[in-house]
Amino acid sequence: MKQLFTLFLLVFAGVACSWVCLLLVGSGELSAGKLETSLTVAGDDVVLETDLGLAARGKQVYRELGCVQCHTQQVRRPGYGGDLERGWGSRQTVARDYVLQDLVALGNRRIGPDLADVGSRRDAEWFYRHLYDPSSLADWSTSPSYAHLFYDKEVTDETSPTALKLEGNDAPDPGFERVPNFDARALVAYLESLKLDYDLPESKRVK
Amino acid sequence: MTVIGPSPQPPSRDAHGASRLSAEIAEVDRSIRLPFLFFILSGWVWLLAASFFGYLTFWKAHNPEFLNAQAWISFGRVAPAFNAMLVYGFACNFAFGLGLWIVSRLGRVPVRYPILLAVAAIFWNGGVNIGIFGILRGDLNVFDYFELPGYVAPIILAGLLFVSVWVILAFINRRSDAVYAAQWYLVAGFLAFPWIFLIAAAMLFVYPTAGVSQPLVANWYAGSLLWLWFGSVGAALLYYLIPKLSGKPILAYDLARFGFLALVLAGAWTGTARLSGGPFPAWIITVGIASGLLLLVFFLITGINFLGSMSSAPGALSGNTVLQFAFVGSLSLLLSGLASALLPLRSINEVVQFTIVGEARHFLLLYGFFSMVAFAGVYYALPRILQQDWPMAFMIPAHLYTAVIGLLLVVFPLALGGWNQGVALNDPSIPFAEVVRTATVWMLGRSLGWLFIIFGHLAFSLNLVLILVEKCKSVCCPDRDYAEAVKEGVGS
Ligand code: HEC
Repeated sequence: MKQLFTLFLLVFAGVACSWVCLLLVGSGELSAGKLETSLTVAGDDVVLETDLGLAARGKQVYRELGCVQCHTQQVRRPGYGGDLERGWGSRQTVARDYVLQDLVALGNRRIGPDLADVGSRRDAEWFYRHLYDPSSLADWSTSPSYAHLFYDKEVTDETSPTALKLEGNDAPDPGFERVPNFDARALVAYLESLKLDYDLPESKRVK
Repeated sequence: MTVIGPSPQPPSRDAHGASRLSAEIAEVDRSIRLPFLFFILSGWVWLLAASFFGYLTFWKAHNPEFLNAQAWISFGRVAPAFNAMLVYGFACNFAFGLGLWIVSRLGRVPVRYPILLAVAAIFWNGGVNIGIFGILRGDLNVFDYFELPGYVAPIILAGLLFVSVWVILAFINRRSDAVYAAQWYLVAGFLAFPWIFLIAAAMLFVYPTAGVSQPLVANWYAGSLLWLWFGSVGAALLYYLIPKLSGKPILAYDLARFGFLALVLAGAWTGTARLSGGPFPAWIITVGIASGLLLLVFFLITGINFLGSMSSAPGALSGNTVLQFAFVGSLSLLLSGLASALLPLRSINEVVQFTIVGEARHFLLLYGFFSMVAFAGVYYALPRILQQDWPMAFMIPAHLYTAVIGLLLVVFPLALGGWNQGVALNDPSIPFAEVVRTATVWMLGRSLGWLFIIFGHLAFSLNLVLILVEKCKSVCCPDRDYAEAVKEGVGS
């Protein structure tokens, strides 16, 4: 029993101390209780919000499709790597940027570019095109296609604004159009919402 | 402190004591047969599934359109499913079976109620099964090493607690006075695993917090899982197997306690080093980096000690394939430990962060170290537990050589390619297209290496299936030799 008790104490010391210090104290410092979410920075009002509506569903689609396997959503500080120089954001991301998000896909791999600010550099049409057939935009791309998020639908009064512009073999039958399904629209709404277009006291954009 | 006390006395060598000892050990081996087979066979099935999913994952990395028509088989699903199969399916099952066996053997206590352990195995594997289906249908998480959906956490935790309680009971009820290093590591690992799992599941799914405390918890768990769990069990296996296989004691056994203390006290602090450069206070990252350096005590003491002990026993390594597995495992422990301590240092991390160097380290640790040691364990344990020799002994070196070639082909290209990838990523004058191309070329090595590794798994499978067939034959038909002789006599 004595040996077991010693072993137990050692494991307890290692796990419990790290849990209390890193997770309890750390989470406290990173929580909305500690980080103000509506503030004024250099005269501008900044109000952080959670994702709502379509974008909130889109974030779940992002998780469900495992985009985090290849993409990060964090811009590292100037001078640490080349994130800013690559145009992946005009400032470093900080804890406050994420503080109201219920799902934080920071990510560990950059097979593709960082997406923290992707909504500032691409638009919905580009996203649909990319999801449907990445190689049509970049022939070197190793991004998988998400063509299964699209379906053919009969054209009724007028063509849908989100319909893909396809030609040749890949085009749908006459009278039909290829449109994104609900998940694809939600995902694109989410990608469009990924923007670092505001300043925070601890991280201001460099122009 | 007796646990970490001086090296125990070898058991008395007089003839009477020796025969009693071997009778006790035979009793232990018999008692554990059912749960051991349950865990090892489950792990084996997961190994085969992981072989296939690993191939898919690695191949898709350079052929994005390969089997990509549906979401469930897309890269974003098969990659996390593969990792979960390897970690929770294969590696944990082998760790359970071998850990239980060694604790029982060193304590010379037969396993009580082995049927309940089989139930534990059903819980664990049932949970992992549901979890893998969950991942494939889209219930996956965004966290490395916690890809399994939160709803399976209670099921697999139940299985895990069962196994842990059995290990700890076997330790409490031990009949021998001596306590060996392998026992400290096992007890610590089996105490820590349910606990870190519970904390992570509770903080990620039961009382989820918003914001970056999620990745904080997930990375804390990942670091603890790798070292406190796999590091402990792997070290225990090596402490047990090396003296048995080489016939020589571990060299600097008295140093073992320092390695153990370093692992247990610092092992849970290392995970946050990976968050470097991220949206976290600097102290959280610094603590992770510092504890990684502290773990060097563990890596160096165990790694060098194991390698030294094996090389110092003259001729022990040559021709002893199972010991060679342990040798490769020890070398990988040392290398992956060095990588884990040094890669987070800020000047290195700036380059290698987010690159495929991370995959190289992960593979070296989980496959090069833990899996190789676990294979050594099964090759050593199963013939003793079944009282049956491996039917195709020549397949064991085949497994070893293909595994080593595979490891080299996976780890070195990923490490070199990842370094190039990182240098290119940080140089904005290099177009991103070029970065992707560089990384993709180096990933070809991984796909090729994995084929060798799969071949090794097939060699292992052949032996595993045949040893069971042989055993069944000799159990069902003990007079087979006689019966065959009669049949041959009739035939001729
Ligand atoms: C196998 C890895 C992989 C997966 C999985 C993946 N991507 Fe990508 N992604 C890439 C690569 C490589 C690029 C760069 C090449 C290109 O633009 O096509 C890229 C580019 C992008 C871009 C363009 C970024 C830019 O700045 O130009 C977006 C947006 C994107 N991916 C979104 C997603 C989403 C959403 C998902 C999940 C549904 C996803 N990716 C899954 C590899 C991946």
